[in-house]
Amino acid sequence: MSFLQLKSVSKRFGAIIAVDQVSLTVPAGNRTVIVGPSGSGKTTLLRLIAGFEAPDAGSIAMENNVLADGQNFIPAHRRGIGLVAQHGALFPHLSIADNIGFGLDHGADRQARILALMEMVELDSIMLHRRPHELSGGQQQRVAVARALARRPRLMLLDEPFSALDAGLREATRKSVSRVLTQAGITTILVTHDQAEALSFGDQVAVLRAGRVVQAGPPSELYFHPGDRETASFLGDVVVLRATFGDNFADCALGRVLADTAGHTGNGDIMLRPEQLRLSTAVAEGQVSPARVTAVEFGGSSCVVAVRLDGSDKPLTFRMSAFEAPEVGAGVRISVVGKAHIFGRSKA
Amino acid sequence: MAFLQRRTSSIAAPATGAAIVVSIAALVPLGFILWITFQTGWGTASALLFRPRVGQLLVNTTLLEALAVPLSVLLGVALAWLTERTSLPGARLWSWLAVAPLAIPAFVHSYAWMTVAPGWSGLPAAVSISVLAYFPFLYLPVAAQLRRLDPAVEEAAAALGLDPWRVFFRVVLPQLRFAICSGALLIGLHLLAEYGLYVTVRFDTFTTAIMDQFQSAFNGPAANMIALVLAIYCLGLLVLEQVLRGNARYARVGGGAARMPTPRQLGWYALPCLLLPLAITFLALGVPLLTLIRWLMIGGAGIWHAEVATAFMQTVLLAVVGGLLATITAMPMAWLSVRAPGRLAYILESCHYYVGSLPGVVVALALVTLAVHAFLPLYQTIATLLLAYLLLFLPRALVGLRSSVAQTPIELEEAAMTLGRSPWRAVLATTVRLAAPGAAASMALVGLGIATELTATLMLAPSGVETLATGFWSSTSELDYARAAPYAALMILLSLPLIFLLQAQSKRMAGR
Repeated sequence: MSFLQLKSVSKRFGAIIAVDQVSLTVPAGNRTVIVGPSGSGKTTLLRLIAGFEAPDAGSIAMENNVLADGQNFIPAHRRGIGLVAQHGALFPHLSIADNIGFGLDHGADRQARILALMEMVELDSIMLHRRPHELSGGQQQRVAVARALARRPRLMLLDEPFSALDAGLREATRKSVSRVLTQAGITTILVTHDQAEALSFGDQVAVLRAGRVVQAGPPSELYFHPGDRETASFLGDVVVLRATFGDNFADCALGRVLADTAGHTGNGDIMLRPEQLRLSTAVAEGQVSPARVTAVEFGGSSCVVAVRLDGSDKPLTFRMSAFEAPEVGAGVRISVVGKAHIFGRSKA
Repeated sequence: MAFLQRRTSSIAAPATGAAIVVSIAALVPLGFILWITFQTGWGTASALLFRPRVGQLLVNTTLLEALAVPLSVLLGVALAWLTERTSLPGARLWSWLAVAPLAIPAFVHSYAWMTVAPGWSGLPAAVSISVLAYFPFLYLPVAAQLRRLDPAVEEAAAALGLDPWRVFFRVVLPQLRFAICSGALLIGLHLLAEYGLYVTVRFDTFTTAIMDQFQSAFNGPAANMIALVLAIYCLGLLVLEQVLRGNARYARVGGGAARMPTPRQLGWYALPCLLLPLAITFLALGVPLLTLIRWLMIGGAGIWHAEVATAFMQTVLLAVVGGLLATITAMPMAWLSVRAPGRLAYILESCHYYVGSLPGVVVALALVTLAVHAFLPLYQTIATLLLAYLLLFLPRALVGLRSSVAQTPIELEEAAMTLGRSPWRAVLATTVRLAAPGAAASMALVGLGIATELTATLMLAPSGVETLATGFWSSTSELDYARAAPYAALMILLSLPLIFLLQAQSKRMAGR
């Protein structure tokens, strides 16, 4: 069941096309992540959904109500969509309680509701009368989430809300926000440029590039079966090798690896994620894959080992514990776990 | 109006409407002068324009600008460098004292000098007293900019082999260009508008000539023609400043906060260097204040008559109402120029600023002409006087408001909207609320401008309305210097907060 539906939405600013014919369907209760490099149009897309911008073309509908198309435009304050901005955008002149209660009516249960919301986002009630600047970055973001939740939105938009936080806090805040939203059963769209965040947060990930959705689907599908090389390397490290396709296998510098070769013949590129590669120093007599270690860089918990395959000038790099790292110059064998991916064969 | 389509906020349209109305209202008086000139006919107009008298005024005004502005630049930069970048003893105190002369209206400066040196008149007196009264307008932005310069840039220059003098001229001075240009423009415009000072030292400028025509002969066409020349001269200064300023940007490149500069150790030079702030403080503050105190003592209790109290009350009332009016009027433009900038917003903003840069005498004359020809009931009313204040001080209101609107992130307005507030209520709950301190500062700046305004008030105030400035002026015109002293003392007291405000603002700009 589609909850939010974008159909060929476009938006231009002068000569720049910020969002180009984007179509996207978000099911109810789903967590969708829009990920893309900076300048790819993520924030504009979010602002179109929120109602701060009107699309030049296309339509946006939520629960079968048109939010914006050629004729109609429902402004932000009548959409019932929650938004958490990058730095929280808390009102500096209001206390935490008044920030959270900003969208609430001045009814009898207001105070109780504010307290319930604070509890929901795990904020201590002693912060009730503090000002936003007296809170840490992570706490401010929780207030922003509570403030948006107060209106019981049907859709919550998160505009890189974790990017201003440092690494450890970032993950913890992300997890707790994600839990709160799931418990409340709110459909969520997160915008981020961080691929790790995108893959771990979303039920659905849409990759945006130059204003277009180049691929959308479940995170693992996108990660292991990206549509093209750019998407592949945006979502994580990749190893791309020339290969000759056979029947459900491909022959490459690593030897014969499994691959869905249906529809591919002759020569082409295959893609592997580095974590699919296993390095071992035990090279049995007569085995192929003659590869040599060219460099070992010590880095504390893990070492970076550079290995050069015969007939290839680009070294492969492996991360492994210093205890397992081979010597420079040692001959090594590389085995592959799982199947290699061939571009242009994305299932999504 | 492309920006109106881009922004879906339903506020941009009415705000633009309001700003257009204000801009047109601001341009009407000026347009009226042009129309009157046009009606006069080319023959009469050219006869009035191309005569020796106008030529002499042009030479006088140009000489004044050409001497007083560069001298103020020299003095302002030297003092700013000494107080901001060297180990000058008591630098903080000197920095306050360098701004303080602004609390004394220029015509009070000249009144003091007439007491001390009655024979000091003509161009030398006009230039020297102008510099003493107005150099803080240059000192302020230059000192603020010096505080913000990244010392790493100067160190880089030194590491590239430049000696301290060459570092100053090749690295520091170019970075001060914006500050110097804007300060010099402000002084240039004030010199064009100043009336009281030049009457006291018997030096004729366009402004004094217009007042002469207006007061003695009520010679409409002649006054109008000179006013037109003055308005064009003023436009010329604005253009000249734009050209000199260029469009290069001198922003600091790189992240993080700049280090505090290390003050240059003056060593034994500290003593001769101290002479400059000492002398300037004596001339620009000591002379006027000591003279004033002397007159107050000579006058005794007798000079504090009821008229002073009335003038004080009327001044405060006009300042408060005018400040409020100007701030409310500037609000749509301030919001527009920050939230929906574009070509139209830029043009509207220029209209707001241009009329404010015109001398009071031009604006007042335009309003008088307009009232006499078209709206006679408005002639010599408080409404016309307030309108003149509004037009003259609109830029002051706009500057403060604009920066506080700019400091309020638009995300707050948007957050309020996603929380169910309509766009109007969202702006009221966030931006307007948060811009309140800026609005208060704007009101104070406008109010203080009104409290010491002389020319337009002389021309437009209905009979019975006397401000501190006009009260002071009528007493000095009768050569009753003691009687004038209480008015001057009250004006200075009222203006003191302005100094705190300006100094605090320039420190805040540098984040200190």
